[in-house]
Amino acid sequence: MQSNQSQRAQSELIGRRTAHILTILNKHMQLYGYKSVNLPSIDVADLFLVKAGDQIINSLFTFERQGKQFALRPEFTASAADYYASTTGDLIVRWQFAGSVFEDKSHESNSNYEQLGIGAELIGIGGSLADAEILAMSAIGLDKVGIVDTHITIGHIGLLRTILEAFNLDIRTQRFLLHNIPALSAADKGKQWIFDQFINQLSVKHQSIPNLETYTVGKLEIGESDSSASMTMGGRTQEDILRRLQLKQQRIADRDNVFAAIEYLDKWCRVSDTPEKTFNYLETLVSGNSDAQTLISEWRETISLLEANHISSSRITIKPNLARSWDYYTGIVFELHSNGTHLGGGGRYDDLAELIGSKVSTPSVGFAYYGNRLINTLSNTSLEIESVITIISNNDDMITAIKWANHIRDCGLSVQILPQTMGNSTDPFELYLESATTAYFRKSKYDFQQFNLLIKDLKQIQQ
Amino acid sequence: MTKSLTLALPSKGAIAEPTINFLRDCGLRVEKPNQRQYTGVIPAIPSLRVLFQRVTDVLYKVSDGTAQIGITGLDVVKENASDKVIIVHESLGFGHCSLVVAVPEMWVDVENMPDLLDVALDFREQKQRNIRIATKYPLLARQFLHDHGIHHFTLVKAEGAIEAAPTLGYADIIIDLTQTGTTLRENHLKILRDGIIIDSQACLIGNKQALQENPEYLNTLRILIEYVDATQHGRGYFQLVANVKGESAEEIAEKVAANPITRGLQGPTISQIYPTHNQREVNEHWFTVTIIVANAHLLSAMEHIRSIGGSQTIVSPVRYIFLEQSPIFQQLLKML
Repeated sequence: MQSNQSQRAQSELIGRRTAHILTILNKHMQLYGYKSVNLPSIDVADLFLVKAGDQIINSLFTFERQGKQFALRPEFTASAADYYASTTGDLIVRWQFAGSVFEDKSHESNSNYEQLGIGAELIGIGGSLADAEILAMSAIGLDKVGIVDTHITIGHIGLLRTILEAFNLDIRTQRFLLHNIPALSAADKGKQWIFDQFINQLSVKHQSIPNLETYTVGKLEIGESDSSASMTMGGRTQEDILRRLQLKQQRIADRDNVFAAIEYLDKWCRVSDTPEKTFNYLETLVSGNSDAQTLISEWRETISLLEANHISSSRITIKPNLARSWDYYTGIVFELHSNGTHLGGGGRYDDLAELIGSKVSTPSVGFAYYGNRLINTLSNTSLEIESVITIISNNDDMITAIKWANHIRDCGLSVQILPQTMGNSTDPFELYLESATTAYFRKSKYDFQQFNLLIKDLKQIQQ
Repeated sequence: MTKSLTLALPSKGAIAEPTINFLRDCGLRVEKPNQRQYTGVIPAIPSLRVLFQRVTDVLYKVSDGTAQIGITGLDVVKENASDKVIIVHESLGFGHCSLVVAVPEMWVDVENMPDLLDVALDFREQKQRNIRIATKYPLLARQFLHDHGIHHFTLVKAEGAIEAAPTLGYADIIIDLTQTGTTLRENHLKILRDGIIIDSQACLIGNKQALQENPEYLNTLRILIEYVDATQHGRGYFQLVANVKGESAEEIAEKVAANPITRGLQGPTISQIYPTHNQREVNEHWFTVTIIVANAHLLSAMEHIRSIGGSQTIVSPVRYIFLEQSPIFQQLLKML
């Protein structure tokens, strides 16, 4: 019984914190011009698979209906980009959203499948002004909610991609290297491990390219007629297979470039420090690469705009290898932390709308908070329980009770009606009706007018 | 009156007959009074009744408590995971097969899962569609593909002989069960080197709650497990009985135990042979040695017995070896 009571109290506390956070953040983002949008909770799974990183994909809640795979949304960004691409209106939109997001963590004990997601997307504007707006809004939002000691860690995936391009590697190899960056700092892995993985996974070691014209494995003879000459089983043509074999061989020929790229990434990822120190270090690494230099200049500009937004550089760490997802971010990425708790993050994803089906490239930047973590982080913050006036009514004066209740609500105070038998004489906010115009409150008798004055006092106390 | 424990068994499919044979070999003959009925009994365990169901329904019946235990394929259990069902014994030793990723043999550039990841991305980039995978195991297939970084694919649900799907053109590759790989080869498919999703065989499952709450069920299950466990242990050994000439039982025991292979489970059993009148006159002493030998070491054991003067050796299979406690049952108690 005690346990149930404490569960109920806990649930009510979480409810109050949730309402507090949602109200404050909604108002906060409105001040930047962000409108609330309602996005679907269920969508085709492919929409989320296009965008999501591996972690989300592994825990996507999916189900099938009429041969089509659907999923519960794991986050809002893909839905927002899809909504933008499939509707017409302003080219530049500022949207905020809040609601449940879902992850299938059935493999974890005490898993909580449903989480609160809160965030915003700025679609249609590129550059440092937009990046700084999202970064500042997300960090200041935490301040307003009452979360202290928040810290921003910022990386730049676009810059990483740019420096890798200098090594003339194919897209798949670039992607492989980006995915394996965390292994550079792992004690049991490192540069050689990544290179070995590359050899094993992406390239052929000693395989020569077979002559597919005469290749008759499985007695499916290619070239037996003109129509079958270009097709093979499983939806791939001879040309597809040959092209891939050649690509694999090309990769082995490029192995020196790959190792050089790994060494470069290793240097790139060694630093994680204040903006000034990190930018100085990175600039020495990219001398001669004008594209990379331009991106670093823009990144510097973003940081200076953050300072204009009252985010001091002491709250910022630049971490060049910060990875949220390599699959779709194209520019800055960032994470928000408070006392070791990861509270949210975001970044720039200029290609997402195109990946989803938009005909035009659309610059976009956004972020999301982990709502449940915000609620837990607020655990030491006391939130006032709003007083609720209780009108005690007997069967004869229900209409009078409702009139009094509506009058009190019109004055902006909370009120509930209880039958006389359910009243609790120790509740200091109980109102006992004597007549249509008079009532006892805290043992004193008030008429309507006197009670109005009292309500004003109560409102001041609440505020 | 003792509460009957219901054991669900597959009524048809690849493991139906092997299940009956397996139980028979354990000394648990299944009697089906009427071929048209779906119930049966095992006379060796009167408190057990048998319910015949389709192989996937065995799992569902155990999950919903209609049956408290059942025998089905591990692949079925893993594909249709239920938190109400526990795996009591995951390797009954029959019904072996593997769930594998198989691609057309013509895909000479594809040998492993990283290759398949590459090809899946090619499909998306060059053919503007997902790679299509025919399978009857969507859950295991999806998880395995995601674990290997393959996120863009379309599962084509299929029943029956899905090995033909790539040839017929309604899928590009398949994920399916195979026992020997022959059918796959006949359909011009090859298994990827690291494409084995699960090695499956028949397993014994139970309804966790029913077993937790009913000691009588648990006791009947213990008897069943004792038979199965003792049979499986026994299968690995031969009993070897040989006559060996020597001076004393101690001397023979020492010679037999000198080789670890013929030491038996605890040590050799030696008993004296009382000779006939003629043999008594030649003043020879003979002893009978009884030992348990692992199957793989039978011939080595025979050679050692011969080398110490053994002859007239009788070798017979061991039907049961009952250990101090059934390890499988002890494991079950921990799970409950």
